[in-house]
Amino acid sequence: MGRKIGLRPGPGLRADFLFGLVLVALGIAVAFESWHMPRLTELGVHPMTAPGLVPGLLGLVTALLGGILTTRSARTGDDSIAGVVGSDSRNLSRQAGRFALTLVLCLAYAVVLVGRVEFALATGLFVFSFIVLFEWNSERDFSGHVRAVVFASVEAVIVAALVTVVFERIFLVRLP
Amino acid sequence: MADGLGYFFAALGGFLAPATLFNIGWATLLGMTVGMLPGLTATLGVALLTTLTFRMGASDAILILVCMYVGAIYGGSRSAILLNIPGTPANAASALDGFPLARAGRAGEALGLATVGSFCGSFIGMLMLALVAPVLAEFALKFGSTEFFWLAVFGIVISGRLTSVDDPLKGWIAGVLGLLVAMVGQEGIHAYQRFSYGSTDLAGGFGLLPALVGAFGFAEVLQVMKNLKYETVRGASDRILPRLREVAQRTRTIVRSGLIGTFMGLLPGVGEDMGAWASYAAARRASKTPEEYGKGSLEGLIASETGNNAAVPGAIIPVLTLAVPGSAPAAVLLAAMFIHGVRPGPLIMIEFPSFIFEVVAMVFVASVAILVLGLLLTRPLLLVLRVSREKLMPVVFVLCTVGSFAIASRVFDIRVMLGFGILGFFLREMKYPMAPFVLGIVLGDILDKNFRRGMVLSDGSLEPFFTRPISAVLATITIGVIVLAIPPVRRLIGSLVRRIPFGRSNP
Amino acid sequence: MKNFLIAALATTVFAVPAVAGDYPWKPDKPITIIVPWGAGGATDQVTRVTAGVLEDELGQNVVVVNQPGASGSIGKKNAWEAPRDGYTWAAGAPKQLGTYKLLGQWDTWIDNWRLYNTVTNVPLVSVNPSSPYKDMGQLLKAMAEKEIAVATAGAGSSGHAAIEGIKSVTGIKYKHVTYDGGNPAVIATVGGETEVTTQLASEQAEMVRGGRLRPLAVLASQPLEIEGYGTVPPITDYIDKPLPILSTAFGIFIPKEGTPEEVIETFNMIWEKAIPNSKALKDYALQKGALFTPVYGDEARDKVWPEIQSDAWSFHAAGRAKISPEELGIPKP
Repeated sequence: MGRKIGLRPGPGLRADFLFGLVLVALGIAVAFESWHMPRLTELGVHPMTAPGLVPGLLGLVTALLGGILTTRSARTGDDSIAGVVGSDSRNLSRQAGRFALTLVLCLAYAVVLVGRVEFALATGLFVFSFIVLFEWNSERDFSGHVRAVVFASVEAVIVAALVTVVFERIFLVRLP
Repeated sequence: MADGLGYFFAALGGFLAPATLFNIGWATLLGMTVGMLPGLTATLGVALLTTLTFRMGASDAILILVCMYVGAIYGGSRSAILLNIPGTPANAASALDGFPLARAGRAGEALGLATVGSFCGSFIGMLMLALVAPVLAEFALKFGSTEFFWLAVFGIVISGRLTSVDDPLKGWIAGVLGLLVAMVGQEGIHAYQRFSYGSTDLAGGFGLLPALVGAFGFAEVLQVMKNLKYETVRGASDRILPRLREVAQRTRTIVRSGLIGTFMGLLPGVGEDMGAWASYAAARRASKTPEEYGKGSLEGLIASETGNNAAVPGAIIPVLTLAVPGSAPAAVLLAAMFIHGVRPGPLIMIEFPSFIFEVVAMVFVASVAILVLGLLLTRPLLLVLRVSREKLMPVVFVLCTVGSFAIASRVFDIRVMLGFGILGFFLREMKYPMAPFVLGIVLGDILDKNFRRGMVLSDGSLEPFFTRPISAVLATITIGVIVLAIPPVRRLIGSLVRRIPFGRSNP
Repeated sequence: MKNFLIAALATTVFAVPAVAGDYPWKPDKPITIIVPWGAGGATDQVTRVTAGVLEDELGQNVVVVNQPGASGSIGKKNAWEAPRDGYTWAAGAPKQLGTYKLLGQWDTWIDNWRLYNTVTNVPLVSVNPSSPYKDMGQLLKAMAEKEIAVATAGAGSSGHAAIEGIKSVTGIKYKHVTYDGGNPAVIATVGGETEVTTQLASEQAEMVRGGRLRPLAVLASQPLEIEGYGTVPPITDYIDKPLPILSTAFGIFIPKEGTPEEVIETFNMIWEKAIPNSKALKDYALQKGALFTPVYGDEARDKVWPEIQSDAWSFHAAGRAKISPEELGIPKP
């Protein structure tokens, strides 16, 4: 979804600059942890098989790449925050709202419902609420609402049944 | 060779029985379904059918498994094109061009061409299997630790370069992050638990599939739902059957990708994923229109689909001639052959002379099956594009959840999927491509073990990494790709190129 | 098209044998065997053959699921945590059940499981055919003088235990090069990256038959017959000191506690008759250079015990044991 943005972002929005710093920190932390991993030399193993060797090197590479990213961002001032293009703050908050709703619904399903409630029921509930909540349109009249809800229920039942049957019966997979 | 042809036609004739055709049909369809669903992979499909075909005769059972394998690798392209969610890791490169094509209302064309590409890939791989299997397998034996190390680095570097054309730095950061993710958990040499801090779940490491399903699937759901606008693609009623001329024009790309794919398939652990990436990279390099790549290039799509499907017969080659699988699904196939009393290995030409050609015939029917069934099924699949996102995305998410759980029945894997989905979403918002990230998770282990093994064999010297012939070639290409992407170097080369004629005219 | 698919699937999924043996337990849904290693490996192969025999006997699908990770402990743990209804089994080398606790990986113990063994694999010392060593004596002599690269499937693998066992009695030197599994280790030796491999005979059988590896000695006290090659002399022909036990039994197992009596009874009956007479398993063993050793229950436990002793004390000697084997009641062999 990458679009080149026209507006020059303020210092608070410098994703690249900050993420570069995060990478430097992550890389150094990884390298530090790797350095302190046991070398297992007491087991008489070859020193080149030390478990920390490759993660340590990767940590350094991460820090290096992060450093380049930060430096570049600081030098050019060019930065990338996708999705800000042509959108005023109202649109931005609407997007954040939609994102939050999706996240909450998905987490509620995958973390809370699945495993506690019968799988087919959990799935049905999730599909139903997802459709209804996202399709909610206050301009619709009563019968429009009814139609939307009925449609959502039908889809929820079909999906729940189909997924359960296909995975359990055909792919012989255990469902959570 | 005449013998071979005889065996081939005899086997082919045997497959024409109605019962066998029926088996071919359902096995391929099931394979395509497995491939399309993120989380279910070719390995799972083949392993599942191995158990279910236990009581069948050897040739029927192995035929079904081959159809499943070919079908699954092909099927992954469907969801990559339609939903931007590669069904198997091998199809990540196909999403790069396939999805933009679908968004532009050319989904039918893309699906059709990918089908033809897959068919051609399997076909070229099959020819190699029939003609030069023993030679190729011997060549694969020359790949030692240093070569595998370079192959892993090469994979990350080209995938990072190709998925983030304007800004390779971000592609490489994504790739290195993927490699770091692969470092979590028990490492493969001393079983030391890295970065797991006492957690048994972390000690097992992050599963590739949950991470893949999260980074592609869940992140895509979040992304699609976040956007204020979403257009269902209505005018997708373009033609599906590619014109012969279109395919013929791309003969070079197809043949090149087929050969690269077959070769990558030979190498254990690298298989289909690298088959697609290396073919895609080579096609872009040779292309007259490299700027279209990643924006909806038919050539790029056909290259990656030909590449990953050619890797299937490629992976079967060492199974037959060395009893060494070139990929995880091929490993299951090997086990199935043993179970059915066929003993692949160096003596196969002596002990079971007809068997290689029977397998060739199986790959052939499987390729025809994906071509026919794939093209027939394209039209109904296009309906997916017409479903509104409110109705489609919850289903995708349900499949993501089941898919990440299905592999190991671990609740932890669902959490991993969610975590990588959210991480993937933010990385994508900052324009980091997901494909090198996932490839990094695939290749991290290979890179780690082969680097350390190479260092043990050389007693800590880096020399063999640059002096062994195949390593030297891989190292040169890899370093070349990196160096050429550094802006100052590009400018320097640019100015050198401009200066040379000037220098000549001025003695 | 859809109906066609469903019909096709229905015929496969439900195509279970109509005739099943007369057993007290009649499973009404597919049975799962968890292979805690990757698909295609030694455990996977023998388990799939075993699953076929079980399907015929029980008249029910037996699904083999691969759940690799953490030295096979993740998959076994899942079998341990599954409902105790007889429908979830684990496969692998039962000796590991006796050493997880020792290694600090998992708090489980051999006596918590009911064992059903199938085959026993033995390690084999082989060299690349282009290497100068024609017999084990020459190799041992060379290894006493210089470090030769030995390929194994990693620390704690059968191959590693084998070369360590030889080292412990002869004092040879070697360079330990580890691979992702037995097969890759064998291939590295075939390809010439390493000179020697000490992996299981079953993992080398094809290459030995094809003349791509030269087998020098089997780590057992009697010679090994490999179909299509001939006989490999035992290591005891070259070393006269007693070697640790290096064979590895394979099989399937289930938690003892909570598993219904009729399930145990049924599997006892199968291991009494059907398994010892299974042609598929017998052929598998002969082709793979493995010993066919079908035993179950206490007898199986007694067979596995010396393997546990041997492993436990060699882990202890290598400094990998988190607690002393004596604390677990494992006496020195």
